[in-house]
Order: sequence, then C-alpha cells, then structure tokens
Amino acid sequence: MSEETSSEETSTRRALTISPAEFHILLALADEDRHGYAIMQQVEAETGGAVTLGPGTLYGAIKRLVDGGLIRPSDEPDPGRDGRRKVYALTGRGREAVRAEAARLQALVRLARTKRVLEPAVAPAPEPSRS
Amino acid sequence: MSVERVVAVSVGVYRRLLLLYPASFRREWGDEMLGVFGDLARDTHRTRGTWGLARLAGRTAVDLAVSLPDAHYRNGRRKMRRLTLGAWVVYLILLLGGVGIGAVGFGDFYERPTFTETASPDATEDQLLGAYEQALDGPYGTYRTFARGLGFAVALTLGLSAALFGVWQKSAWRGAAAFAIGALATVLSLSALPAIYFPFDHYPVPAVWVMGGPLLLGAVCWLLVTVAGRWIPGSGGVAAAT
Repeated sequence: MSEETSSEETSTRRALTISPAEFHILLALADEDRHGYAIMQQVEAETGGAVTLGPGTLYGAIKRLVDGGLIRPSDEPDPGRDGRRKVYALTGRGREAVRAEAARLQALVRLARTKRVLEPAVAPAPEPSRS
Repeated sequence: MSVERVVAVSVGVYRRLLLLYPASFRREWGDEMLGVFGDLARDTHRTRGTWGLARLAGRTAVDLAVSLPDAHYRNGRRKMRRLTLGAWVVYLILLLGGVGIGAVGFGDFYERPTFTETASPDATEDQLLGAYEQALDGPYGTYRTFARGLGFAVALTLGLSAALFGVWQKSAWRGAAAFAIGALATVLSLSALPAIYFPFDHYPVPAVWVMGGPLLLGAVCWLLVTVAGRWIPGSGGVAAAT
C-alpha cells in the first residue's frame, strides 16, 4: 500500500464523522470568518439554493463543531450592522477535517468516473503549437 | 402592516417556539438564533413579500421538526453520561463496601460453614438437613441473606450501569463490553473474599493492601470502560448527520 493511499484512507476515516450540514458550514468558513446569518446565506449561495439551513439546524451544527474544536468564535468583531453578532472562524483541526471530507468526496467522484456513472473529467485543451 | 411590525411579530412567535429547545441549548444559542431569524425574516419580507414570509414559516416548521429531536437527544446524552458515571460509582462502592463487610463480618463462612463441622461423617441426610435448618436461624442464615442481598444488588447495579453506558454510547457493543468488564470485576472481587479474611485475622497491615486490590481493579476497569469507545470502530467524532 502506498503512503499516499494510506494517508488518503486515514483522511477518509477522519472525515466520515462530518454531516453534510457541518461540511457546508466548514466550507463557508474556509475562505472567510462569518457570523451565523452570513454562513446561512453563503451556504445557500454556494449550493444554488439546494441547501438551506434553518436557525435550528444551523446552530445545532455550529454547537457540535464548536464542541468538536473544528470552529471557534472569532476574536474579530462583526463588521456588520450591529457588531453584536458572534463571528465564527475555522480552526486548524477544522481546516484539516474539511480537507479530509473533500478528499473523500473527490475519491468517490473518481470511483464513479471509473465505473462510468459520471462522465470523465474534461481534459484541459492543449496549447496551440507555435510553428 | 409595516415591515418592522411583521418582523417583530414573527420574531415574537419564534421566541416562543425557542422554548421547545432544551434550556441549556436555549441559554447558549437562543439569542443568536433569534437574531438570525430576525435578519432572515426582514430580508425575506423585503425581497419576497408576504408570500415569502409564509414560505419561511413553512421552512421554519421543518427546521424545528428536524433540529428539536436532535437537540433533545444530545442534551439527554449529557444527562445520561452523569447517570452512567453515578451508577458505576454506586456499583464500585457497593462492591467494595460489600466485600469489606462480608470479609470482616462473615469470614467464617467463606471457608466452611460451622454446621458442616458439627455433623459427623456418617450422619444421615435428615440429620444434615436438620443441622442446616438449625444453622439458618443463626449467623450462617444472616450470612446467607447478606450474600444473596449483596449479589443481587451488585448484579442489578452492574446491569443498570452497563445499560446506561450502552444508551449513552448509543452502542449495544460498548454496553456489552462494559457489562463484561464489570462482570469480571465482580467475579474476581467476590472470589477474593477468603483471601481477604485470613490476612485480616492474622496480618492486618498486609490485609489493607489486599483490600486495596478490588479498588485498584475497579479503577482499572473504569479506565478501560472509559477508553473502550476509542477501541471500537464507529466511535466519537463530531456528530451524526442532521
């Protein structure tokens, strides 16, 4: 077994404990710290409206992520309207977890392609030769 | 009705619905949830009007239906953890206390009950039964009642501890593992009784060390049970899917 495969499997095992809602929240925080409502809007925007988190689902997931040490309340104040909203940031562990989950999903997509369940990825067009 | 009035009414209704969540969850997240709902209601009314708010009410009902059982289940698990810990402590106290009292008070009967000494080797069955029944009225009967009561109480507490542990861990396997370890601890401790009595009688200081055996064994078992979850696949982590 190659080192790369072993590492991928370890990441996959670690990622299995993240629910879809939690994964979307981690993704929303991957590029920017956000408060609860901004996370909700970001998830809806990133999924084209396919995933909408209500306040109960959102804060249930945020609580689990905070308890699990994957996100933390940020020290930075909310630059928004009232400045009272709590802003959340990804921790190092959270970044590792979201990467592992993404790798797991990527491995599944690769498998689906080899089984022709999905169309093969479009290869980048070759650069025109200068003759 | 103005936008602010509609939003205020919606938030007021949602504030009352938040009472359905566990108190600890509400204390920690209630204000933020209310704030988010207020923003959501305001933006929805602004962009999609009254019909948008009606749809939001439907979505919120679904959100409550999904998140409420989850919040209560997780809150219940925390309580279950405390209950499980309490049951294991009661089990260990019962075991250690029972073993100690049994060893000091009824040490005679662990080796050979007195009625067997008084009966002659060629006694008939009726004579033996008579001696036995007579012994039941004396200290041997008290010992037998004590041993039965202790065995029953220890077994009951062990079963309860294992069941609570299994429910807390949401795993029958871990409950079974806890039960097996606890059963082993019970058997080992109870079978150590004769070994405890004689040193107590003749060598009190070493006997204290012997009495520490079940305590040490209990501590080791508790440690094993606590970390058992790490050995069994499918444990821990952040959460199940919502």
